[in-house]
Amino acid sequence: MARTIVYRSLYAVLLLIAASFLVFYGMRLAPGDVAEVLASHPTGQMTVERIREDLGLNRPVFVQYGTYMRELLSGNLGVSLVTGEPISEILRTSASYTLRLAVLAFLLSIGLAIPLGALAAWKRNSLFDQGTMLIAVIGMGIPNFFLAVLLIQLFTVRLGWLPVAGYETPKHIIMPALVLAAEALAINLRVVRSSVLEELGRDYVRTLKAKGLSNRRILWLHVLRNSLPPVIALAGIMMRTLLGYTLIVETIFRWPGLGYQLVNAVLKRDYTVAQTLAILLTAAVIIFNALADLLQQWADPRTRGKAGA
Amino acid sequence: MTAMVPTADIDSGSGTAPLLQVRDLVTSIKGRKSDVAAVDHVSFSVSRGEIFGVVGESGCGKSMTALSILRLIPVNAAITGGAILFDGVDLTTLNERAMRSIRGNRISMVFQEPMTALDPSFTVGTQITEVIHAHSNVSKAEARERAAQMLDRLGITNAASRLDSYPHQFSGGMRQRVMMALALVMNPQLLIADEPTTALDVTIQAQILDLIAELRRDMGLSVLLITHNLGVVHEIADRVAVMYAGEVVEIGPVQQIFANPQHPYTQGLLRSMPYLTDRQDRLYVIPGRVPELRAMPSGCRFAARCRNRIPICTQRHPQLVENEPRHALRCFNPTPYVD
Ligand SMILES: Nc1ncnc2c1ncn2[C@@H]1O[C@H](COP(=O)(O)OP(=O)(O)OP(=O)(O)O)[C@@H](O)[C@H]1O
Ligand code: SF4
Ligand SMILES: [Mg+2]
Repeated sequence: MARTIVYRSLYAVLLLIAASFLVFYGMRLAPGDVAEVLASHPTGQMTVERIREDLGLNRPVFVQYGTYMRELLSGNLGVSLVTGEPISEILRTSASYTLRLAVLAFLLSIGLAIPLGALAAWKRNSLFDQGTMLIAVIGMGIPNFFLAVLLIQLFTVRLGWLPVAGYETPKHIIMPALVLAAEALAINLRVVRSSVLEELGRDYVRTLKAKGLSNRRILWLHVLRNSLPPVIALAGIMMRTLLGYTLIVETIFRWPGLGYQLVNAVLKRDYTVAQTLAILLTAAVIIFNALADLLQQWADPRTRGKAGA
Repeated sequence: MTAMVPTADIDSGSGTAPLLQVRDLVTSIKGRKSDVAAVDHVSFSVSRGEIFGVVGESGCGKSMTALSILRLIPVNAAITGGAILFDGVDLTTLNERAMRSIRGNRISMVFQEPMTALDPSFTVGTQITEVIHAHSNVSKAEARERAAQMLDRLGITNAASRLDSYPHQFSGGMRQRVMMALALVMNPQLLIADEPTTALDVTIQAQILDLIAELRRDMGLSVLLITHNLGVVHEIADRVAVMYAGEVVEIGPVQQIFANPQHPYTQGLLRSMPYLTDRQDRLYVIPGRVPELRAMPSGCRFAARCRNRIPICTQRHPQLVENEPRHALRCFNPTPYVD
């Protein structure tokens, strides 16, 4: 296991370096020039040349990247080009909003998918099973923004129960969380169901029945426990997808998370903010994946035992 | 003089009521057009303290018979006829709850695949103690104690510490002992062992068989031993039923069946046993294959493969007939056995 941890971490670090460089380089390739944007900014006083000089934009991209990363790693994230607000401040508030939203959506999708999916598998081909799978198909096929529109229509326009956008009250998180959870729920439902179904066909299930155990114990303890590795494996990917979707969902519902700030920064051509947020989001994804891999290994006592031996 | 007898009457002849009586059991597999019988009017009985063998080639319905007794047949199968009397109670009429209180408690089962029959994610201790908790009201400590004793009894060294091991940390033979431990921990009256040694190598196989014989002697256990290996039956069973294509074709005491096998199929099985003949050079194989369930001949089911076949064999279905006391067979033209 220790060996696995070392290898997986090393891989993650290499990936981090490559990905952050690509983002950094990509920013430089984007149309429009930071210096020009800054020079044209209403509050700006400086010339394009002067700004270039100041930002070090004339130096080779590797050098720029090195300087930037050194600053980033020492915790100096810089300030917004547009507002002058420290990026660390933007990051702190928006990350907490995104995390709140993503974690709620994640828990919602897993928390519903496990019991519903397992029961659907146990009652295979029943009305319940078919109903659950219909939900999964719909959840998978319906685009985020469309679901958002439907929910807003229902809960805001028709029923007047929920506010349409913002972040001021606890009620504000409900709709974005539902929209964000929908696809993950659909995918998790299918994975849980098929994993449980596969486990139900195994020999040990017959042994459990022959021991006289209750169906409840067989399904919710033994079969579920064995069905979890693929679900856990997916959870990492799911978290990454969820983080990706926060971009859209936060923008629709004006939920002030990282995605909303990133989109805003890009629209305002606030390069420093956009670049730092993009790199940190990528890093989060890579770290999530590495953790998910390790968790999955640990969840399976067979690989755990072998790796320890 | 031969006489037709209700087949359930062919028991051990011990005089006391048998522990298990399977009477005219029919277990069908549901099909798209029609159902087919994988177990077709099978009758036999197992006395207290008796080891009863069931032999036959692959696919002849041995496992289906065993699973029917515990009502653990696959979802696409159903018991469609007959009765299974266990200690006087017809198991086919019990509800699920009553059936569960019998499984693992009064009737236990061990399966062929020791590699896959245990849950890989739980310790052996948990898997044994949960049987105890399912059927009795004892403390965790006491259940653990009993589990350790059982493992020890079945020849696992350091039993108490082995309780915390996972199945993958045991060898195949040891795993089969663990299977037996969780089957026997509630002190059942009947053990159904479905090919318990087939997946093991010869030495381990012998150890497990010795263990079964010993448990019968010490605990008065009755055993329904399913195997496709006549050698195993010869070694430890008291009586045996030979199954072919879902039917019992010959049934009787092991000594008699080995001394005087009557049915051409039984004779074929005997001939194909490697270590009862001196002909190590060329192993005999019964020609042909077991007929498909969907294409069962209306006459004798063995006719296509039989060297004794006479015209009536393909026209009428032979009945199980007692030819000497407690020994019955299903054949129109039996002949003495020549090796
Ligand atoms: N789930 C199932 N669906 C359809 N047919 C089945 C199923 N299980 C068993 N059968 C059929 O029922 C018949 C009896 O099978 P059974 O498993 O009882 O044979 P067996 O004598 O135990 O053979 P083996 O030595 O291979 O274990 C076979 O023809 C088999 O193909
Ligand atoms: S009934 Fe006929 S075909 Fe069938 S086993 Fe006897 S002799 Fe052979
Ligand atoms: Mg079988």
